[in-house]
Amino acid sequence: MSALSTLDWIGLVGPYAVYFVLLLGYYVLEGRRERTLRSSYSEEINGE
Amino acid sequence: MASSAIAGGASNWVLITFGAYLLVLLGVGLYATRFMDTVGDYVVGGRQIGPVVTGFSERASEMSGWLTLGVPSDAYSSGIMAFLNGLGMIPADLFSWAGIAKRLRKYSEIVRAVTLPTFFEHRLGDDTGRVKATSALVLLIFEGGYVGAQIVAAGELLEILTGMAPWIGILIGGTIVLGYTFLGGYFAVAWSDYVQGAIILLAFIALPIIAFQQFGLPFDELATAGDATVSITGGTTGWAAVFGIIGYAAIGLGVPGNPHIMVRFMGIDRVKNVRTAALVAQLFMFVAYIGAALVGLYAIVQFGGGAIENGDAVMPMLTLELFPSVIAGIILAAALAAMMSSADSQLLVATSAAIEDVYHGFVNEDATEAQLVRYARLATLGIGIASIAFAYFARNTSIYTLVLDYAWGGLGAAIGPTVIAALWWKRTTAEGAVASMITGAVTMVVWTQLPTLLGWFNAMPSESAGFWYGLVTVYGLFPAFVLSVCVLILVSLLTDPPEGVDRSFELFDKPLSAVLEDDRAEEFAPDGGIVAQSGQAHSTIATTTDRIQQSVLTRLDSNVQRSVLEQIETTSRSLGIVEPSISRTAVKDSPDEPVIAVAYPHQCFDVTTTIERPVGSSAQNERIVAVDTVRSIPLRADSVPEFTTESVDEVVVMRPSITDNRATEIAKDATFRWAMRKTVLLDTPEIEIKRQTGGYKLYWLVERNGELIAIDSVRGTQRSL
Repeated sequence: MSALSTLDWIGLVGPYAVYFVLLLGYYVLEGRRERTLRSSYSEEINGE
Repeated sequence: MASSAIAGGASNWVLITFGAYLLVLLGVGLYATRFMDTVGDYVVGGRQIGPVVTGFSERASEMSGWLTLGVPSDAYSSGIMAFLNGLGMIPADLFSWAGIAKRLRKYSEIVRAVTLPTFFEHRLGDDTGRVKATSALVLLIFEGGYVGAQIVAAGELLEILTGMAPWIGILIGGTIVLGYTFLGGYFAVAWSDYVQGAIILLAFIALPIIAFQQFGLPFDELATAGDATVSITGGTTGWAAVFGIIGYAAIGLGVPGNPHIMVRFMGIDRVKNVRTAALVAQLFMFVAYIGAALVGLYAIVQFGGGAIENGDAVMPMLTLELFPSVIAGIILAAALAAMMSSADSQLLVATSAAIEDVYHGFVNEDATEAQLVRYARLATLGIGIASIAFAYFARNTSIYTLVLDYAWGGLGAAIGPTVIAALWWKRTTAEGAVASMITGAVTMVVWTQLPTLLGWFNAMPSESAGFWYGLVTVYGLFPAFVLSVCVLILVSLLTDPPEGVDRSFELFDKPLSAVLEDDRAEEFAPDGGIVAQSGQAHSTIATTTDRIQQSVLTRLDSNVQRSVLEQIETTSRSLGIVEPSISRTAVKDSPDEPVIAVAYPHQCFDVTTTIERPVGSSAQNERIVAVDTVRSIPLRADSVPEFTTESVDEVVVMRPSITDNRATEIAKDATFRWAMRKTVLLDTPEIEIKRQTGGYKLYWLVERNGELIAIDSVRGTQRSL
């Protein structure tokens, strides 16, 4: 039997798992946001 | 005892590799100072640091002291609860990358700021010097605390390796730090941190793996050391558990206020690389925090819980125990080098804050160069000695606590709220910032001592008091940050915000290409801005716009609006200009379209600075300084542009507001300041103007869809006014 209770395991692993998902989400969404901004700026400058 | 058995018991091979590694680093450092050329290099690596190195060094800058020795120590005493050190830090760091990095990078570029006090001064429109002086004082105090903590950590390492008495370790560690600072100054910090950080990170990966091979998972063994060791709340319940977790989470509140992290944000080469840098930094954190905690836990398994009196020793001891001597020597030398490098930069930041921002900026604006050099040297020495004294008196306090209470927390509570507000809240005022900084700093110091203070009056709540006991003993950054934010908001709402903030904030919503453009020819870069070299990131179109808007249009006609093209009086002149790469004809939409030229004057200087060094020959740096003779400000350039005399039609010629002699003085003064920031000067540097040229750069003003557009005739960048 593990020395750690289920709650301890959740407290131990949970935050890191959540943060990892947050990181992936940030990386993907930020990339999209950047592409959208560049695209709209290009249109604005070129008067398209 | 395990500690006494190992302390001083390091083998000769450990000591040989330890010493050899440090000597090699010192040699590289002295050699590298030859290439350190600009204040940008000094503070933000010239803004040419790529995303991987930026992300890595943003984290590696914390590998010294706290994470290397402190977190394993915390895990050794707290058990698995130490994993919560990442509870606030990791998301706070991610939010900082997402919400601060790009804005700070863009804004610091626009306002030509390379340090946080300068950034605050410009952003908050404070011409009284109060914001700069207050933030500089905060930096001075808490960066000094950092230096002290690094010295304690260095002393600990020396003690463990050689068995010397702690006070001797601190004295030697402090002397090494001071000597290193006076010798070479601040060199190639991003790369230096990168190498040391990589070695320590690898150690944090390898140590748990080796330990796992020997012991398997540590948790069963930990349970024998006590139930609290295997409890995520450290065996506490109720309010004690809540405040315990809050305390760990609150560590993350310090991220926005710590300059060594913020300058990494300012220093990245391209804003678009922020995303990648964030990914690298975050992955680094996952590995480092888990690894550091596991090192502490395996130390319990290896040496036994409570067997090591000084928790700061567990990481070096486990390293000596599990690694071959040569590798252990390199890892510990890398740790010491990281501490020295951090302490050196923190010492120079504190010196700069004391001399440039407080003394020169506030106390004696007319100070001579000789005075500044002398006082800077004395300040470095004074702060260094004060830090050694602090380290001596605090030698029995763990490095973990020293850093959190006397450095990280103070900076986080005092500076952090203003950093966030300055970038996100237009209503932020200088008065609010000053009040917030004072509140944050004082609360942090007081809260840390609160149990002692209450104890004097027999008012300290007992542990059974639950909430009140938890509140009094919670990590001070939590209440200090909250109070600092409240005061910032309240005072800002009661005072008037600076003017012209809207324009800067508009930039934040622009794509990155609106701020950073590729350069194709010589270009004047703002002080502390990007070095304009081919293929690198460059000076901002926003700055160009501001320059025209603030200096050109307002001088032509105070009522300049969209109809400016009809209002201005134009003429034909023979001028010395930088050859345009974009012709006037090329910017016309139709042959009849009117295009007004604006000629903006600059004086350019090729300056050589000779700096005496205590070891080796004098260092000579060459720098190109362009002085904007309308606004009387020094700018940086990568080459002296060639001015050719040509007749320019329909040109508005901006008149310089200063003489050539004054421009020369400004160039020399800027060169001196750059030199003083990068190292401890032994004497006033020799500054020689090797070449001087002067002339105009043309901007094309055209109207598009009712908007006035300024086009840089050299770079071709354009922006609506």
